[in-house]
Amino acid sequence: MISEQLLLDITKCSRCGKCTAICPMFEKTKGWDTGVARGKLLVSWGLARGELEINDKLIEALYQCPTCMLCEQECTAGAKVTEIIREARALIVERGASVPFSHRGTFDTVARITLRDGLHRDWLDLIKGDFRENGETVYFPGSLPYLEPVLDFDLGAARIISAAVTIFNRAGIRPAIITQLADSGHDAFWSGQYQFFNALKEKNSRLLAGTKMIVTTCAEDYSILKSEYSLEAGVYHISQFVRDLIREGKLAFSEGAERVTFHDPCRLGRHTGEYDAPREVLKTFVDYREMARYGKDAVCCGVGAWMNCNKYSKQLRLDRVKEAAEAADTLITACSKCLSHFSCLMTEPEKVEDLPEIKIVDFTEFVARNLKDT
Amino acid sequence: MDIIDELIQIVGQERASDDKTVLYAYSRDSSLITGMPDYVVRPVSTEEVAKIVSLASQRKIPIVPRGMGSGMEAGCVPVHGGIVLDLHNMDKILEVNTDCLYAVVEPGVIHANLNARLAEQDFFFAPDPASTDFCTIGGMIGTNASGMTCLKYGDTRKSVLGLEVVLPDGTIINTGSRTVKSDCGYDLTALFVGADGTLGVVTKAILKVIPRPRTRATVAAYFDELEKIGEVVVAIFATGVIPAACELLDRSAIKVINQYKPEIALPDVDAILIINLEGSAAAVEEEVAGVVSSCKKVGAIEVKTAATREEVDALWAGRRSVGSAIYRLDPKRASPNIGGDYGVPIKRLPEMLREVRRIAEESGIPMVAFGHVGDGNLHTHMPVNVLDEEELARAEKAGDAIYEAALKLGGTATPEHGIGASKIRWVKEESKSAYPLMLAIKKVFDPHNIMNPGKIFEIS
Repeated sequence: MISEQLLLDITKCSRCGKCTAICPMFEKTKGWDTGVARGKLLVSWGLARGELEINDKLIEALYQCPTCMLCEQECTAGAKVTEIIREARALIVERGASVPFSHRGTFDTVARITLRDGLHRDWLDLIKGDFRENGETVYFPGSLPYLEPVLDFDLGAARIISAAVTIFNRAGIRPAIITQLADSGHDAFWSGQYQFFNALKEKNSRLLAGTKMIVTTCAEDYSILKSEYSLEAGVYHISQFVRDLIREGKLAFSEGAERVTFHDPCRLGRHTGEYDAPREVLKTFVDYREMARYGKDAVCCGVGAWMNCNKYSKQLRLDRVKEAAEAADTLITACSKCLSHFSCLMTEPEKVEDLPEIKIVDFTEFVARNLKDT
Repeated sequence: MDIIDELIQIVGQERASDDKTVLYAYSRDSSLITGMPDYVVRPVSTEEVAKIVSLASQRKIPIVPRGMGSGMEAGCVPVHGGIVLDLHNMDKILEVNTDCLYAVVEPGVIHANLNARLAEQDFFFAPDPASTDFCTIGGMIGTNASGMTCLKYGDTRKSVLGLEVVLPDGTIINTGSRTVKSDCGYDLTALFVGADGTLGVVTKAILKVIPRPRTRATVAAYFDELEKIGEVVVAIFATGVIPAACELLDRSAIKVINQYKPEIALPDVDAILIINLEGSAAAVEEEVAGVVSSCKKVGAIEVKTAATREEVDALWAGRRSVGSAIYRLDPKRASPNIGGDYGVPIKRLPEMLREVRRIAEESGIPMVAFGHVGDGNLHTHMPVNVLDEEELARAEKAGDAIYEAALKLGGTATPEHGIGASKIRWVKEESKSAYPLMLAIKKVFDPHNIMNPGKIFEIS
């Protein structure tokens, strides 16, 4: 059901075409106007007004977009592009069509499994450090532990979770890892599966009731918990948490000469406005360099919510990694999707002719690796 | 064979479509006028365009050329269906010859991309629509686009030396030459520019390019009486200065900019003029002095000058924000292009602006006026709830009243956005006795009316 206000929001788009010059995906597809925000909003209008039926091209138009928000940020008219696209996706779901997840929807299935109670959490055995099952300060790993078995490369899920625990421990905190927490619902929400999202949110909210602080290592989990949940606890991305610990003098680092750059995940940057924290942290102990496009102008890794991994998103990620390689030897990111997408690229040197040499490392893991005893 | 199969045969499966979703995305431009195409095709060469146009000619179906679809007046909206030619994949800069002052481009080249390429040699293509980052050269040619600097450098027509055009029967012709001057019979190049694609499809353009000015400066002047606007522009011309840009913010625009971005803090005055001067350092210095003295002589409350990039940006911040400010006035109201582009003789600008204020008051539609005052071209934006039929009808009536007022003052309803489907009425009213001749020309080129029908004229 699309509200009248949402229709009015669509009318804000004057179809001026500014998004055609901004959208990194359209730059790759150079295709139909359905491949850019202006066209997607017009298609959403047609769908909402009953002038268009759902077909493959309509699903492609509305799902082939990482909702990176670059166009929305620059839109003269202030059209709420990502929200409109998400609502249009919800209409598609409401009318019974399937979400075109990549990887045959495996990650969606994984998220659904996390809804069940009483699941064995064998992955906990792999986590190093001192943590507990319940408490007021919670580390939220989201679906990270379950991604690894599905991906055919080493994402380092156990290392990232252990790194998070290590950071907590160095600051004298024994975090809670609530084993029955479900997937955050980020992908469910952004794929327009609101009913599914609400089920995940309801379960997580119940388990998180009474907590004071929640820290996530994934930008997507952070953005969804912060923006779409109504939690009493403060929600922090690990970069904010580490920044605060450094300011309080609770963490120290071994300084390195490594040239490091940071890829702003769209959920951390444009979606929730946090650009400074990761930089403030990294600058304390490495030779920090910026890419040509960074902060609010950063370009997407190419995928969002496992929905649009295709030849164009793969070109985007290659461009981004090349851009990073021009600036640094190590590319740090702080989102499990960005990490997966970049890492996946680096596993395919035989398929990519001009793959640059660069290390891709998760922010949490990188921070923990460089911690020094205080 | 079905038309879609023939189109696929010409351009391949990937670049021809009759899918309803794809077609729907081509049913609009920036205007409120809609029209569903039957097919959309993305050709990549003149040969493909010629074959598609030949097919359309044989089948007697409309052909609608389209650049990036950023037009304001429904020039690329297929109001009679047919084949939309999405030309944005024909985006090659074929030749740059700054020694001989020209560049050759395909129609899908983005204006800003061309100027980025020319900037490497300190040259530029002078017409400067606000949509520089996304409008195509083909679209600029179709609409004879201009912008802030056309006062000094002229509109698109002044900068097109020659064209390659596919005529409505599929024939490919060339007009003009790679020389700055050419008097080879009738000026067919000029005829195709601003024709909204009603005479043929432009597939290549030879453009005049010129050296970039080395120095720029900005003057901003504040006025407490609207009457002084016309006077000051005339006074500036009298000093021998042609500004590169001479932009006006009316009281209505000042108000919405201050609401949207209070930090810009524009003064509470009746009108602000922002004037750009460019050329050699010595000339700019002299021109700044002339403009400042003209503004003071006419009675500006305050005159500010800027030479550094930061200072210039600060003076332009208000003008640059006006578009965004209008959209953010009211969450229920957009700013559709209604009564948005008109011009009057420069000295009559104050009268025109007073007319706009009167029409706004009578219609109950708040209006924001600004524009390229140096050439008498004004723009009006109206925040309108387009889902409210009564409000929309009232706004459209107000838009017509604005154009009527412009014509009564000896002006034009068609200064720089092209005509498309939305200004057909005004072409007839404005061109008067020349109208039948224009219709006759259309028939010579396109006897079956397949080339972008329903634009400029509505031929039954």
